[in-house]
Amino acid sequence: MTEFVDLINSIDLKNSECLNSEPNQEITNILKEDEDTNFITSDTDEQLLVNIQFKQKVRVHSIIVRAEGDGTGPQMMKVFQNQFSFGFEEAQSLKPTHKFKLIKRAITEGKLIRFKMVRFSNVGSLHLFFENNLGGGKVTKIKQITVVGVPLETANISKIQSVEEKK
Amino acid sequence: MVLEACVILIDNSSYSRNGDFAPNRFLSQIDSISFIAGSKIQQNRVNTVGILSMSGRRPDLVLAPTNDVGQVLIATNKIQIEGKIDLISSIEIAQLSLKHRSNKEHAQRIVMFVASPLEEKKEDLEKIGSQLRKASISIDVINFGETERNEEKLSALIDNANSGDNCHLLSVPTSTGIILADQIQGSGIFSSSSGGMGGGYESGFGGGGYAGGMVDPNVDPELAMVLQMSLEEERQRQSRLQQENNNNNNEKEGNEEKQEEKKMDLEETEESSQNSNKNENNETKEEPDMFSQLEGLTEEEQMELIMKMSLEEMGNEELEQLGIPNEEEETEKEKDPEVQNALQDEDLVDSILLSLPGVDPENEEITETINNIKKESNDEEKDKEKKNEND
Repeated sequence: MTEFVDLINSIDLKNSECLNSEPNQEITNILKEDEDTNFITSDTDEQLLVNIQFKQKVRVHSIIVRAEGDGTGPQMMKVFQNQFSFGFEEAQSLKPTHKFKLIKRAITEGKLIRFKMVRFSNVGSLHLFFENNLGGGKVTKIKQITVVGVPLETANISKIQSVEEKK
Repeated sequence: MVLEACVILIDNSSYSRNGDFAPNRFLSQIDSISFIAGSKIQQNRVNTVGILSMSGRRPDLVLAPTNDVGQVLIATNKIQIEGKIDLISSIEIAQLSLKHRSNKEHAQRIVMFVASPLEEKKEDLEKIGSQLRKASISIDVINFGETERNEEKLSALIDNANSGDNCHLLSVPTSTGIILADQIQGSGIFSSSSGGMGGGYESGFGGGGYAGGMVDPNVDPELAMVLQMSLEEERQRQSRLQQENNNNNNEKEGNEEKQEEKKMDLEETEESSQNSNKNENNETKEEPDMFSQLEGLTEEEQMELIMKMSLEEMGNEELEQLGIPNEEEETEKEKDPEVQNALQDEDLVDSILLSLPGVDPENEEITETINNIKKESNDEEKDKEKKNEND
């Protein structure tokens, strides 16, 4: 049984983005290790769309979403994978691979939200659509998102050795 | 230098046949588009510009975003004037086109020309403004031709789409002789933070009256450099001449020249002449008097006082040689010292400028800017004086 790891090193931060966040906020606020100091706050309305691009294909086991318990935490989370140019229109019209209704305890205590791994066995990009929040207000805030899984085996170039020809 | 993908929405409805913007609204848009595209691609060669026509059977993406200005110009020729604009669909199609841009690192922008009276509801425009904001697309709207009727709706659109001042509404009222492209250029919404090279060149020498008297280095870097060189040369020369002066030098460059030097000294470097007087002559006792006196005087009177003091240094012999003409000059100058100074200054500056290639000293602009420089340096020296007095 392979060990599952925090896939933070597999995330391609440059090509990941968060839509409808406030202007000067960056995706690194929630994807990088320095948790809790920086948030992502929603801007125009309460929806947030997080597009995570991976450097290589991965298998996703679970996810941890951390937020405050004051009602600004997200409630409905729809998960899509391997989409190209994913925006709010697609998020609302396409069928998600997974749909989760988050509860307060899960987000304040950072509990693992299990995915069905068979469905997420070959993920190049993960798209999280937070449709509304727990309090019903206009602002949704997320502290940290951690993706847990295992990167798929790719060619390990350092292990390539020349083999002597056998006569 | 922002990396940007831009789609320009052109109003090719029948309303743009109107000739209130010469030659007609449609052609003035084409004109402006070539300026906008040129300026964006000049700012960054990787920037892309696309064109979408808003009216007709349906909005049509005439040109997908490209960084080739030539293609932009060719594409504008293919557009026909017909029908009425469909604003909401046009923005949505532009949004799609930007979403599928080749380089995801480009910021997304829409530039929209509106020259027909809008039939869309204000709420719909507000909705699409929020949609653009959610997708982090910034929008610039150029409202012309039907400005009053559309003003309210378009400002609602911009307000909803604006996040951190990235969206602008440019309303160009109809009046005779207005060229749309010039108005756009002048507004500066398409210039980069450095001032906009393309716009700067076309406004030409008019840019000479920049704040502070110096020529904006972006507008004309050569002239700015020339002026700076001549300034430095002049200052060096003056400090050299002061030292000669105060050392009671026997090198006689002639009456007028010496007077000129003094005038230059007085006007441009009051403080340094004070200092050199202090250091190199027997005026140390008079220092406190000098300073206390100077504080209370105006510039003219200060100059007169310094004049008298430097004349005293010169000694009797030299005074004889300078003699009567000196006094005459002095009285003239007392009557009108500033004018005299200005004139003589000009001669010297002209001579310096003549020695530099490619500069016409009689050019009004140059003399104007030089005068501004003089005023500026005068102010500087007054400040220096005050600082010195405080020391």
